[in-house]
This record gives sequence, structure tokens and C-alpha cells, in this order.
Amino acid sequence: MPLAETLGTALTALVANKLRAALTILGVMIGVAAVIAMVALGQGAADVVQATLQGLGTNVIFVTPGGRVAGFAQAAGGAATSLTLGDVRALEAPGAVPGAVAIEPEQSAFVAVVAGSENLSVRLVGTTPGYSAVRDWRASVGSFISDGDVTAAAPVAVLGATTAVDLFGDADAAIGRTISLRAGAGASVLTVRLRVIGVLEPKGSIAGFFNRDELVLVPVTTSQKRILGRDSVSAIAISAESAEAMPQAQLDVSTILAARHRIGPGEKADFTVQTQQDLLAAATLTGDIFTILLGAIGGISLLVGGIGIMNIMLVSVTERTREIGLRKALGARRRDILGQFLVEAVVLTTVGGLAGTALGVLIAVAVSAVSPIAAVVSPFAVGVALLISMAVGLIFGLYPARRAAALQPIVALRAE
Amino acid sequence: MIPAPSPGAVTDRGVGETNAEPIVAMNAEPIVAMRGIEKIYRPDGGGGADEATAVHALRGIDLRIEPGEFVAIVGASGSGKSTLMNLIGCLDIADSGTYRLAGTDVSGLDDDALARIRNRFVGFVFQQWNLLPRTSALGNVALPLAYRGDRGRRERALAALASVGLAERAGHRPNQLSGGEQQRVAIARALVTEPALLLADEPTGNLDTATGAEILGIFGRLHAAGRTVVLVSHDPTVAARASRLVQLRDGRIEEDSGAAR
Repeated sequence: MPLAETLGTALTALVANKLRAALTILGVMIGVAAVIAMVALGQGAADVVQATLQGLGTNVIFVTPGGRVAGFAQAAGGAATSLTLGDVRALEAPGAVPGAVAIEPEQSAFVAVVAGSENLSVRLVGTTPGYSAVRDWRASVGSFISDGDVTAAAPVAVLGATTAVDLFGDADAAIGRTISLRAGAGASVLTVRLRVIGVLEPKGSIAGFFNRDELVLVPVTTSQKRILGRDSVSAIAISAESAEAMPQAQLDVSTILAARHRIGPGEKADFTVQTQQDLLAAATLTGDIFTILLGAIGGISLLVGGIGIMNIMLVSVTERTREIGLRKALGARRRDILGQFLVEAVVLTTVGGLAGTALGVLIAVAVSAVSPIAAVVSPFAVGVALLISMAVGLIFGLYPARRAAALQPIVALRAE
Repeated sequence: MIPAPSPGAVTDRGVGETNAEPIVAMNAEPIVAMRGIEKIYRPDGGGGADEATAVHALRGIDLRIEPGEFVAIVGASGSGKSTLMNLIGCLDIADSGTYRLAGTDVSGLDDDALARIRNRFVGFVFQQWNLLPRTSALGNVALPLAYRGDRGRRERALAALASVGLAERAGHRPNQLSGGEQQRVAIARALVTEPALLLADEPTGNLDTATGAEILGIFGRLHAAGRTVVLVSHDPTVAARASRLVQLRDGRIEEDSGAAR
């Protein structure tokens, strides 16, 4: 029987049982929608992390407190407090790390910033003039933090472009004004007044959500002594002169810090030296695992949908035993009957797959609209989901279709 | 061999007029040639361990049906006439004996080969009509042609419908037709492939007397036009319409009015 005719027969049979077909399609639809939405969101989350890391600058080595965990590079410094300003000074010593062109410590925390009636929660980073060189990020108005500011622990601040606009209307208006920072919690809350000396060039946001321009920079000494009240730094970033200089610089940094921290050969270090590539690789791996897990959850719901298909096809074969008998009496061969029921199952899952793709994209877009994750619906994922849904129809339709094809015409014709 | 009748030309013609001669002329061999046919039903599906419960449905049937005959197979229920009909129609195969249908030996053929034989040689008319409920009369009639992948199916199905006087009902679904009309659609479906043998199982069993007579009239005219018709029934008035009577009892042919020929 020609395929077009088989398709027509399948559609007629499905239309005859609209509610049943719709419910079966719904099962597959939910499965496919789950796969599409989950993979899109997983991909979106991974892209955010990747874009964040790529925004850190090129040829940069990061030192974070705490050791490596089970072979995974640690992506965030966590609460460990092993790095100090002394470590930074040692790395900055002339000839200590020949390949380094700039070094900066970072001591960061989220703080409340108040200026006049405006009140914001922004990221505070205590650092040194090296920050400007490592991040390739200068003040567009006013000046950046100077060595003098660091030495004096001066009560000065450089604002990110967005923060400046949020607090004072525009960047120029911010220069020379005073802001109040509030850090800590409960009874230990403390307010520090700082004078704005500069505003950074706008850098824009990463992947549509992480706005790098919402930032307050202060001399690292100021944040240590006046704001956060601790000596440890959250990270040290070292900018190497070239990509070729990276391995040697990484080794030099490790050697110097190991000596300072009295860590013998083979001992577990209390700090981690990573390049941007290491962080990227770790984040990519994490993202991939995340995507696979989410995809697997969707896959399981697709499996459940497939079982629904098999169930309904078995019912259909039983109900239509007489019809099968008649068709065989009139000359239908095994493959005609097999094809008829397989096409029916595949039509169900393909319609479910298409509807599920639409629903999945809708869910991904809706979640993107209300969360920081920008979902990425890849045509590849859509194609794979559609192919898999068709395959589900073939696989789960095969057993019922084979049962139908194997029916003996006299037995089938006698059925009620 | 048989040209497809053009749709317009046949609407007002009588049954069977379209192809009167060819079936008789094309084949000198008997349509049905059975020798020593036996059929045993075993409850366990043919394992044969339990001879006591095995049912000997047919105990050696020798039957020849020549082209153009109108044969009625009659007998009480349990006489084996349904089994014989299934074997004649290649819906089932015999346990022993030989059967040639229109010159083709069908013993030992597999399911798909039997399906082809049925499609080519046999036109079935069932007691319950067995029309597809959601398919138009035309679609039902065209169904056997679909399984042989022929071209011009629509035209041939229309011609077959016209030959039973239902050309105007082509687009109707079975539930929009009367019982007699449904059986006529079933006859058109049996005729559309130009089969060597028209095989009807209690074709009037679900119809009132007047409609039944009308359907029997169609079979009579088909026979008059040269078709080979085998009709299975337990109703003597139905059997009386046939030109040859084969009476079955306990799996054997008890009486055959045409055996001498």
C-alpha cells in the first residue's frame, strides 16, 4: 500500500478517537517539551558562566584560597582565608614573576551603598591600581585608585558606570560626591563614608544579566581596615605578558606561594592557581553535566510517553482485530498491517514532538523572561528531540504493530 | 487482461455486463480443484499431543468447481462448511490434501503469499458486510486495489459501485446506507479486483427477506454474466438459487448435485 494512503488511513483512525489520540500526544508532548526546555535552560546557564569567565580578561592567572577539590578546579574562592596582602607583595617583588605585567588583589563583598535618597546593593571590590591593567579597564571620568590611595588606605571610591548613574544621574556628577557604604550584619553593621574620585568605562552586561558596571572599587587597604575588617583577600589576579608566558608565570606563582605558605612537595596546597582556560574548562564540564542531567530527566518523561503510546496502540489493535482480519482477507500482507500501525504510532509521536517543541520553546522563553538565565534553544536540540520522538513512535509502536501483523485472518474475522 | 471500464459508460448497465466472457475464456482449468482435503483443529494450537480433543472438521474433501458455476455449499452448523469456505478462500490452509485455486497450487504457501492469492483470485462477501465504518463506500470498494498498488483505483471502484447500482452513493459512509446497500457495497468491493471466484458467506443472513432476495438476484445475474460464485449458507431458499448444491455432513460431502459433470 502506498505511504500516502497508509498515512491517510492512520489519520482517519486517529481522528476517530480524538480524545484518546490527544491524551497520548500530550504524554509525548510533555516529554519533548521537558527535553527542549531543560536543555535550553541548561545551555543558557552554561553560557552565562562561560561569558562571565571570558569577561575576566586574557592571559590572566587567578589565585584563589583553598585547595583543589577532587580533581575539579575550584571555580569560586569560597570562605577560605589563606591569601593575604603579603602574598600579593611577594608576587609583586621585582623579578619574582618575570612573566607578569600586572598583579592585583581583590577583596570582594556585597554592600549597601547610600547617596542622598538612593540606596543600592552592589558588589564592592577592594583592589590596587593593578586592577586597571589586569582587567584592561580605566576610569572614563576622574581618576583610578592610585598607589598613594592604597598606602594611605584613603576613603575614596571608583564607581562602575551603572552605579554612578543610579546614584547621581550621570558619571560627571558623581565626581567629588560622597557615598556611604554599609557592610556587615546585625549589631556589627558599620557605615563608611567615601569620596568618589572616578567612574569606570561602561563594560556592559554578560549574557544579558550580570551587569559588570554595578560596582564600587576601593583601595584594598581601605576595604581591609575600614569596611570589611579582615586581612585576607578573595583572589589575586596576575596578568601575563603573553599566552606563551602563562605556563612559566603559573609555575612561578605556585612556587612563591608554596614557599610562603610552607607547603612541602606533595602536600596539598591551601590555594589554587588557575588560568582563565582552567576555569572555562571546569565551567564547561559542569555545564555539560548539568545539561546531560536535565536532558536525562526529559528523556525519562519521553520514555513514559512512549509507554503510553505502546499501551494505546495495543488497545487499538485489540479493538480493531476485525478490521485487521478484513484487511488481510482482502489481500493485506504482514508489512501492510505493520506499516499501518507503525505509521499511526509515528504520527502520534511526531505530532507530540512538534507540539512539545513549541511548548518547550515557550517554557524556555518564559523562564528566560523571569530569571537571569537566557535560555538557548538550539536547532540541534530541537532536531534531536523531534527525531527521538519519531523514534519513540517506531520503537514503542513496533510490538503492537507486530501483534497486529501476526493475526490470522480467520481468527481476526471471527473476533467481536 | 481485463480493461478497466470507464466510469461514465457503466452507470446504467446491469450487473456483470461489463465483463461477461473473459473469466471463462481465460482459464480452462477448474477454479477450485481440491483432493483429499483434511482439516483438524487441535485446542492447543496444533501440537497434536491430545488426540481426544482434536476436532476433525474436514475428513477428505474432493471438490472441483469449473469456471462459471454457481455453487451453494450447505450443511448444518458443525458440518464443516465454514472451514471449507475458509480453505476455498485461502484464509486458512489444509492439514493434508492438495488444493489448486485457478490453476495455482496454494498448499504450503506462507501468509503473505496467501494474501496475494486472496487479493488476486478471491472476492469475499461476508455475512456482516465488514465495511470500514469511517471510510466512504468508494474508499471501501477501492481497498483491495490499494493492496495491489494498482493505478486508476478510483475509476475502477466507481465502476464496480455503478455495477451494483450505487454510483450515487459513492461518498456515503456505511452508517448512512441501509443494510441492503451496505451488502451491495461489499459485493462491489468483491468484484472490483475482477476475481476468478466470488465467495459469499451467508450473504443474506443479516437482511430481511425482500432485501435478501434482491441480493440473491445480484448473485444470480453475476452468475448469468459468467462469474464463478460459491455461496455458503444453511438457508435452503438461498441454496435453491444456485445451480449446484454441495451438501456437507460431519466433514464429508454427503451429496453433490453437480459431481457427475
